[in-house]
Amino acid sequence: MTEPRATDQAAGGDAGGYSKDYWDQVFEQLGKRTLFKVALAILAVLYASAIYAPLIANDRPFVLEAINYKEYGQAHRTLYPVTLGLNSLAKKSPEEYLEDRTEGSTQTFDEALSAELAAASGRVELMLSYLPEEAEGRAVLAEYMTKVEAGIAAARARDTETATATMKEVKDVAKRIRAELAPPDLDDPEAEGLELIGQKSYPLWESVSAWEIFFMVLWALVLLWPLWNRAWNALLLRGDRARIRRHRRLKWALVLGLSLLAAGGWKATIDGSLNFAAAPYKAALTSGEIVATRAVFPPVTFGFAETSSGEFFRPPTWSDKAEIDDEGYYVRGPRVPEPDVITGILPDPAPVEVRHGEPDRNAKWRRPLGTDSLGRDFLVRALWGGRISLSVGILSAAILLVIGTVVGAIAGYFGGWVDFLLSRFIELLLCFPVFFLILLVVSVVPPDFVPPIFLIVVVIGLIRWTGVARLARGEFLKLRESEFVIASEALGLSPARTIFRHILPNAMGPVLVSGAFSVAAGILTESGLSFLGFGVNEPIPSWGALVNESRNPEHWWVILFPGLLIFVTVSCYNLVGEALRDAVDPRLKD
Amino acid sequence: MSEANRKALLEVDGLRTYFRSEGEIARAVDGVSYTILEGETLGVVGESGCGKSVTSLSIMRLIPDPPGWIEAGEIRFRGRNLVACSEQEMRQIRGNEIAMIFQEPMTALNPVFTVGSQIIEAVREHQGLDPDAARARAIEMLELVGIPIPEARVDEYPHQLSGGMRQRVMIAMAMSCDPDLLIADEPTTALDVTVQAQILDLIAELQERTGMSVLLITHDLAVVAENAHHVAVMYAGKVVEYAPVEELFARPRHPYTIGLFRSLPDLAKPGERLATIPGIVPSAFAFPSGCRYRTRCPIARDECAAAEPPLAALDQDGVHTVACHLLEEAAKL
Amino acid sequence: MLNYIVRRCLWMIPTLVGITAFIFVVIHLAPGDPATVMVGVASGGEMQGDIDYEARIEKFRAEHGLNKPLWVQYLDFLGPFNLKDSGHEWFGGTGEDNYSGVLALDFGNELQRKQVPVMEELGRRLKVTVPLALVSTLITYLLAIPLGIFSANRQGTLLDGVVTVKLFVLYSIPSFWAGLVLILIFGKTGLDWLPVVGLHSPDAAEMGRGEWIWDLLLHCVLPVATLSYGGLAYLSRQMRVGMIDVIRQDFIRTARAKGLSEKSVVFKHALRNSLIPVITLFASILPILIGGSIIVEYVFSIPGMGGYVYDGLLLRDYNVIMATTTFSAIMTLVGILLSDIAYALVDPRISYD
Repeated sequence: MTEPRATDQAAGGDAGGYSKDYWDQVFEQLGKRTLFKVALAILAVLYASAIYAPLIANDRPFVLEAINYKEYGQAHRTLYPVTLGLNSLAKKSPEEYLEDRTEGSTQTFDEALSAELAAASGRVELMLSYLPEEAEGRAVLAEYMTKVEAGIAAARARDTETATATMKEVKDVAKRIRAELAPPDLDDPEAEGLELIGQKSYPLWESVSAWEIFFMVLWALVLLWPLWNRAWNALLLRGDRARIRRHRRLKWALVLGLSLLAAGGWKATIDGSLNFAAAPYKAALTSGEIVATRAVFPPVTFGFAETSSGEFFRPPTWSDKAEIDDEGYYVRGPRVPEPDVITGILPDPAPVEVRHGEPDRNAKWRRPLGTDSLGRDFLVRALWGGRISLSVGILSAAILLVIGTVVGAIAGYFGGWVDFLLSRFIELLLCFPVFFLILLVVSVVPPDFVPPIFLIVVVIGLIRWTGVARLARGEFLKLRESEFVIASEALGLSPARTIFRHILPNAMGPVLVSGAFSVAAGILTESGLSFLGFGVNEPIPSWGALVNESRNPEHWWVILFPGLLIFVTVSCYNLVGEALRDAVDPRLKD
Repeated sequence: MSEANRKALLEVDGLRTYFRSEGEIARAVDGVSYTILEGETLGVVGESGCGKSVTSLSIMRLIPDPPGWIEAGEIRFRGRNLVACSEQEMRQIRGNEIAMIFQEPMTALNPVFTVGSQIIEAVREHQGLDPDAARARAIEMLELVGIPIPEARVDEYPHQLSGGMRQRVMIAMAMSCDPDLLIADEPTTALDVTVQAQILDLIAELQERTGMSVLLITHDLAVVAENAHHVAVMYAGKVVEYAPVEELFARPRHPYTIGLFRSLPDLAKPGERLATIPGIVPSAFAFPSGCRYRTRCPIARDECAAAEPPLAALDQDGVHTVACHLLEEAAKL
Repeated sequence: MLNYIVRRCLWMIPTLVGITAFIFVVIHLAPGDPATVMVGVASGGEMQGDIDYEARIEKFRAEHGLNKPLWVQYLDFLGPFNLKDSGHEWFGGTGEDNYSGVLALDFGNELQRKQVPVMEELGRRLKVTVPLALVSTLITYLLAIPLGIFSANRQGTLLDGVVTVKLFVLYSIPSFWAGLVLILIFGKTGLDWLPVVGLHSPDAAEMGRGEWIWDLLLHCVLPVATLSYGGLAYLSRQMRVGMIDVIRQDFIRTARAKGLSEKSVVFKHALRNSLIPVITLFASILPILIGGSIIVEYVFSIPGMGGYVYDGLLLRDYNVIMATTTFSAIMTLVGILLSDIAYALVDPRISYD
């Protein structure tokens, strides 16, 4: 098996006739397996849903064009008190100020003036931003600002007299503002008030980090690969096999480059960061503090950390046991409240709060997977939880593949006492229950020291590499005796060069296979640790931690759904590994 | 005994054994006929992949199914058609009436049982001996095949023996039930040259002693020349020439047989380069039309592609049969 | 052979020292210790300047020898001399309690519950975990071997496909989930067939002997199933592959050519050879079971060693962690030794002299 591979490798160099190289053959083999393709498709969807989770389920709107009456009202209400403050400050001489100022303060008179000016101008600017272009109020506000600035300038010049006089005028203007620019009374729909215009903002995008953009772009390019790859091959390369093969690397570089570019651009401009606290938009929109002219929410409007007071451990809403009445009592099933035996009083009602953009209280699709102990939506948490679970698998596998390959390569290539020592060390590591060891390390390091999830990744990587190392060692032992390696040594190439340029590509197949299995094992390990409570920090979800929400069999949805996701993912990875193994090395086929 | 008096022990007649692989059918054996007379040795020669081993496995009915099966033909052993036998009946024949030894003595013995127990097993299966008698028989057989200190060797494991010794154990096992036919499938290929001759001599000696027939499968013409009475030359799933050994070596008539002889070192003149047969054996998935040898034959003509040449007798007594359209031209080669 | 076993047992000593030393260093180097857990500060680092706390922590550390250098603590752990303040006079102790440590078969008392010697508690819990693990292993092997043979002999048929896929699926199920789903199905919320909590019913004390055993058996069904399904899937797959591999070998053809019956070919000639790799897997199944027992005992609320490990880790109880570590390492090493011995018994090519 190694020899044809070796010769293929050599033949790959000449651009003459098209002969299938090793990877062509592997892909051809893989293409024949339906189960492999299904598994890959499921994984692609799972990864897509994890990567795009912020765009699918979020309590922030993509676009919000809204009038924040509360904000405007606050600015309006407090402008007069601020003006009064300015007034009293302007009347004082600097010496008087220093006498009066609060104990411990080091603010100078001028600094105090600047602070008051900023307070006033901030409020005015905010009010201006909500006033339409043609509104009369703008002129009043402008007049106010001019006078304030004049008064402050006078005070700075220590011209207390002028300052006091100007500030008196300012006070009058402020009174006018208080009377004329009051926001409409929200509780009284009939009341005619001031007409305001909406502000446009992008709360969801502002919470997206550059990293997330990188993966979003990357995954879009990968998923669309069949499309643009075909176009590229047909239009640019005109179906020339040799050039297509040479472009393979270029395409991957392009995919990575474009994603990095997008992420870099994002970092430079928006650079959002994820705030774990639930966003206030929906509550404000519901209470009417904000009135939206346009609010575009993601398909699912629940945030992963958004709690709901009336819906603790609510069963999936498509089951009839989940129906809740106006007061927050369950209508059917085991959760129907019963009067207290002694007092005969029902427990306090906890009505379900339906916020802006959410499905109705008893809509079938309101909580398709139920909720957890804090009333957080389980579907959303499962969606976001995939980010942790899926990336832990990949990252830990990457670490263990690198360590395993390097150690195995060294042992297999150099042989002798190096091999002896490394092999004994591997045997020593194999003597220990792996899960136990990982659990031990993860549990003794406190979560505020290193985030447990990073620890899990690193520890899995540091402990599980032995299998890969043995495999790589075997491959290297086999390959280093093969003719093409002997030939390259005869040409005087250095061992390192031989390893990395010649042996490694040939040993890559089996290593890749065990990589797929390692991802599966990594996901299983992480879920087990999270289930025991040694995983992610609250409120970040991961699939294993979701199951840990409740061990009460009555909360079956808590147990069933996240576990099902873990199971499907692990099965898919195992299937992919299986198919890869058969394709990479037909000898190993059952 | 003269040739004519000898009765046929085994007749293979129009045997076709096919294999299925990834939806395609490989015709590994495709119409093979030959006869083994009582007490004599038939040598079957041919390149690897020509179907000679598959034929012998078909005789034993040991073709793994799936992927293989006997498509057509008869195998008559003492007049009884083995193809039609039940598995039960075949088990009575295997090891008892027809025994077989294989190419690789290294892997043909079960590594986890002592050689003695592997012989005892066969004896007890077919002859119903009690354990002690069977053990005595095993030691006797080991002595017969020339293994020193058989009482000790009987309790050793295969990995403790050398290759030649293991092949002797195989022979002892095969001979333990006094078979009428011994199929030896390349029995010496995996052995050292010095050991090869010993093993072949041993088989010949045992044949002399018991009067059994031997089907000797080999790719080595020299082995055939020394040990066989008749020779069947196989090419691409068919017998292309069948003749008594002296006749064949004196007058080879099929271009393939002639090619084989040319590639033997002792027949080439000293200093001359060895002749080779150009090209490769055609794949069993797609044999050429007509004569299967035509793609490599130096004298092939259009007519060779048109029809398959039948295996026809050269003269009245029918001792020498050849499958070739162009016997005249071949004679001039 | 005896020679070999003795040699292997001697080799276990440095391995054990290596493993325990490694774990010892890891748990002691991590920030925070049992003393800080005791006073309710998780990570040691940032404490209020409370004099009382510090005094209590100091007292606790002194009492348990946590203020000594790490290597002294490790030697104290190894024993047999007690190196703590209350220890042997040779090492500056008061001589109250001369011997402790692994060599004195004394892992000290639990740090948070001072009256309970770890060794006693561990012994109680091993009586639960070890039988569960052994029964699971036995069931795994008893089911996996016939399943593997069965599916290998029907290789390529639909039945084989179904069996292989089913086993494959089992292999991908997280064990805690398997346990919980079994509880869902067979517990009160589902079919209500089996008890799902602990190993005994609350009223087990009043039961007769037969009833008590039956109660125990019922309680064991789900934990044993959860412990063994993964190994079952893995082993029967290996068995199938091994069997298919062996069936293709030349010596199987030889056996057939001898006229042996198919039964004797499969169960005598093929089985013994294909058992070899499966037997060596015993060494890797045992550590998996020990790791798995942590989860299974947590899911089914079983008071075994796995649960002890969990509690020990939560409370940062060094004595509990070290004791459980040492025992699981010993069990793993013994498992490896046993599988090597079994290997030698079935494969005559292996010689250990």
